[in-house]
Amino acid sequence: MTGIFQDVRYALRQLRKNPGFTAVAVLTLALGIGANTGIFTLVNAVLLKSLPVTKPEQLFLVAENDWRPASVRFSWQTFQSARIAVTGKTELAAASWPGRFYASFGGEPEMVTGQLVSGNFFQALGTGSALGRLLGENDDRIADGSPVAVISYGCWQRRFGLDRNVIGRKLVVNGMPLQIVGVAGRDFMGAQVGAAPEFWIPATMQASVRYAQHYSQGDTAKTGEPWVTQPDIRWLQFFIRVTAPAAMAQTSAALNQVFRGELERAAATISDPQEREALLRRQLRLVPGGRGLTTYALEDFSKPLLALMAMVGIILLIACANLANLLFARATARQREIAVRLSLGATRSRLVRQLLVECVSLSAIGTMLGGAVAYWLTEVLPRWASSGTTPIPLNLAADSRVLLFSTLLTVFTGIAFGLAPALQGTRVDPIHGLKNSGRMSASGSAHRWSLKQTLVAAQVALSLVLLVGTGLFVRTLHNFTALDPGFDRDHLLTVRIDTHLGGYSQAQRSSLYRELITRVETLPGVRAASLLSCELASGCGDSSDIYLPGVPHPNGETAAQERRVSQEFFATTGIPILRGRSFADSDTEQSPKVAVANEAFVRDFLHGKDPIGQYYGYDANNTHQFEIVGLVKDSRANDVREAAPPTIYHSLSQDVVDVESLNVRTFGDPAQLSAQIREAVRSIDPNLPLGASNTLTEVVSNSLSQQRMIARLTTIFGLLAMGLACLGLYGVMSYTVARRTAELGIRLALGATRVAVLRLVLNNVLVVIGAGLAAGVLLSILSVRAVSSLLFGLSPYDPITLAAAVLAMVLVSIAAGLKPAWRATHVDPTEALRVE
Amino acid sequence: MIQLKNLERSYKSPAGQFWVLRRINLEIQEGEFITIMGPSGAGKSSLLNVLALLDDAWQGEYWFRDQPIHDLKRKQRAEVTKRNVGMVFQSYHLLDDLTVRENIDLPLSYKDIPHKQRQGMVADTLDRFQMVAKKDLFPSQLSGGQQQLVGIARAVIHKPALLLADEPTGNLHSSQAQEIMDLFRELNQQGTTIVQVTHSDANAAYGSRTIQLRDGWMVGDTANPELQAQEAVKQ
Repeated sequence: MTGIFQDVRYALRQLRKNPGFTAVAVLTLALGIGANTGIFTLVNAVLLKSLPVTKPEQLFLVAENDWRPASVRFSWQTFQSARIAVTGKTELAAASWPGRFYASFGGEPEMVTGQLVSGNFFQALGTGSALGRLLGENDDRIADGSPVAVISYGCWQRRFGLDRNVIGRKLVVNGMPLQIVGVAGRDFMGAQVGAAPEFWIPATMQASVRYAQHYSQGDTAKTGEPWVTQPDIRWLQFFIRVTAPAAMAQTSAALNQVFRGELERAAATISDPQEREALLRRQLRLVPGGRGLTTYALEDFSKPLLALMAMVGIILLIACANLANLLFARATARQREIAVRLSLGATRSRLVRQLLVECVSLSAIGTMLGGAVAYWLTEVLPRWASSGTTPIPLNLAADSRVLLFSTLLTVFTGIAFGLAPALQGTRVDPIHGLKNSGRMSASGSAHRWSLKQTLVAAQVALSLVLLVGTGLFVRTLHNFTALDPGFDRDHLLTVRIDTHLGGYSQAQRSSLYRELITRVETLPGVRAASLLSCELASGCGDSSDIYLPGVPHPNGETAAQERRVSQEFFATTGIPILRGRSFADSDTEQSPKVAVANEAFVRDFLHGKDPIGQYYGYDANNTHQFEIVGLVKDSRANDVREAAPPTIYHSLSQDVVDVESLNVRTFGDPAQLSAQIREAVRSIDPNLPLGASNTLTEVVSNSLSQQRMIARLTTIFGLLAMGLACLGLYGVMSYTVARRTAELGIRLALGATRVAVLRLVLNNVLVVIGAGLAAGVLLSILSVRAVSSLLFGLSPYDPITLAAAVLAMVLVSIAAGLKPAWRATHVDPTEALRVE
Repeated sequence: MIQLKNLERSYKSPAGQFWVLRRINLEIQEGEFITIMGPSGAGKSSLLNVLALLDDAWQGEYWFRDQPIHDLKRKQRAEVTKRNVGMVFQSYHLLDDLTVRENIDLPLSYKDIPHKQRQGMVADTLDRFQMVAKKDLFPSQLSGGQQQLVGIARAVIHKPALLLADEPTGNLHSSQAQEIMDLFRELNQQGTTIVQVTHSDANAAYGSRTIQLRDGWMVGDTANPELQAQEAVKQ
């Protein structure tokens, strides 16, 4: 052990004595290790980390057939039955999907995330409170009978400044006053990774706080009435703690028994035998839930994250190759030291250990400084990847896995770049080493040169792979940005409003909508305004199974997106009407129901038939519910990254549902009208929940945040890789020229022209670059398939991208090799021969 | 102590085999102070390297205290060196980044000696060579003579039976050289067998026996007048 300490002390002294080398090495390692640690911290938080609860391995989620737990919902009634059915060493809890609420924490109300949970939620999950109490069994006994809330630690910190008097304070959620009874544990951010609720409310308060997310269809679901009494409103997910593994089978059987009862009841109302049979085939299964549920935003985030992990891994490899080359050069200078040590009795393995300790010490310093890079990445990535204004909420606290990763990375990196130079550096003939006393030795140079060339070629190859990736992602972002979304995003402002959270009745909504449109349209600078049930380009969608007369109905294959829009929607958004008409004043609640279809609907369901005058419905027995009166151009109304799905637009005048968004087309800059529009909305009803207002250009841009993030980062990483490769090439070329000074001097003395010498040296560069590029092209072709799902509008083998990356690499590499080559042509023969 | 029988060393070159040592037969007794002399290229340093077992590409027999070195593997030879041999170099070969104390400690660090014991040995050696005040200095802060003193201290700290010195005063001026040679004599008187390579007759005078080399051949040995007579006849 003393020997190791001595090696460490000596290593640190060596590093201090060579500040230039140390600075380059530490900086390279800090970037490489920091980037890896940062991305791994995110991968860990997104994909690996367990919830901060007691014994997370005992937690299970409920999945159904091929559906993942995130897609399965149950009613409160099913929860109650299941809770009775699963007994013994099992605790069953329920929670809604975290939803949007218009809440006031004492100041102006704002839209925040909250969650409804069963009283035993915290107990089942196994988490404690930071202050006050958590929800308990008594909090969900009576419908709307327990107006209490537990706030998150983050909420307590941000909104109350960790004030311990927060207990008993009032929180108003969608107009419902609730009493804060406790603060959840510091690290607990809910059971859905990527969605951090600000508060938790008893599920039985659903009606009072007007929670609205459910998976129910059909007429039996009365969504306007309290949900806890309705078996047909499915809105809860189950979290189960099974403390004894033996109880798993029993729990699963009990759940399925309750579920079977639900299915049979539902099947009785279905006339289509195929559909009924399919329903009865459904079964539940328990899946490990220690890591919690993953939100869709997080799933989107995890794919690029894995691609980035691979990229930073490659960066580290390039950095290692670079440092290995530097160490090879240093090994020559340290021949005498090694020879002395060998002559004093050091064994080779002992010297290898000492050299490796130096390398690991270097990487340890790199790791420490890399902490800043890692911190920066964990700060910016959740922000860059978020489509909203707030970062994706993640528990990024370093855990043992991150510490282990970073320690192993430090050690392995040190060994990776240090081992080959150490093995070669200690292969010194002591007599020779002592005789040469630090002069550059010619022995074994051919071998070293060859290894150095290989390392630089490898750097060029790996950098090319990253550059190709960069090119593909940058072009993908460009393709998305340049894409015609089917609506005119210029001069268009979208204001988030949520009438559901405001609790308006149908009659109130009708007059509210009329008044909103009229008031906003009278504002100077406004061309048109419209209301939407689902915000444009924000991932919002509502799909239903469509039945068309005479068209067979294969189960699940006639799902169409439905949007309720006000009369001027198409004029406001600039979606062209191709045939028929838009909605008109004559389309009222009393008039026959009409709809406008898009091209995809006609293509997929009507197979190109003229849609005008066609009918459809939601039921095989009633296929004439709606008449299609217009055809509009396809638009990427759900998500600009997805092709337009078959879509039906309904008139908001005929189906007066709640709306989520007010769209305003302006003559000038829409952002400048934002304040006036908000003021106009407030003047109509100051209590109408009002969210952010953005131009459609911003909304589209935000929806491309993932693509922008990956394009930005791959550009940074690609340039970094190219820079490292060039640094490596420059270093090796400089070293080679220095070693060949005498040879070049003799050549010049014998009459070689400078051009001939330049060609001689550049040939060397071109051989290395050529080998690297050949390997790089091959590697790129083999590896780009892995990221093809992240690309848009181009093939992973896009020849333009590949050619541009190769060209960039060639130019930059030649530039890196030019200076040493130029130096070679200016060797003074007399000086050079004196060196010899 | 040492017996070399028909020991030869050669290098392969494009021009053919190049001999640096030819049929060396030499016996070194415990406690001797031998000087190897000869013109440049005679094979003096090569012989010293063979004796130090730094070079192991020779042919012939090498016996060290009745142990057949020629039959040992490389690692075993290194072990013999580590235990029995100390080396002093013309250009000292101190490690620039280590202090005097650390340089002296270096050979011990490569042996399985407990840290405390090592500290004690280093302290004794510093004391013996009167370098306690300089123990934390780096080689660059010492004069040539002082550096060679450290080199010798480093060579003898593990009490080697055989001390090999390659032109130990070659880089020193005469007064410093004399000090070093006095030190060698003292070590020899304390029982260390010394083999030195030198061009200096004054230094050779400190030794008890002189061996002459020429073109790789041993052409003279003051302990073996017959050899000189044979060579004289040859000439």
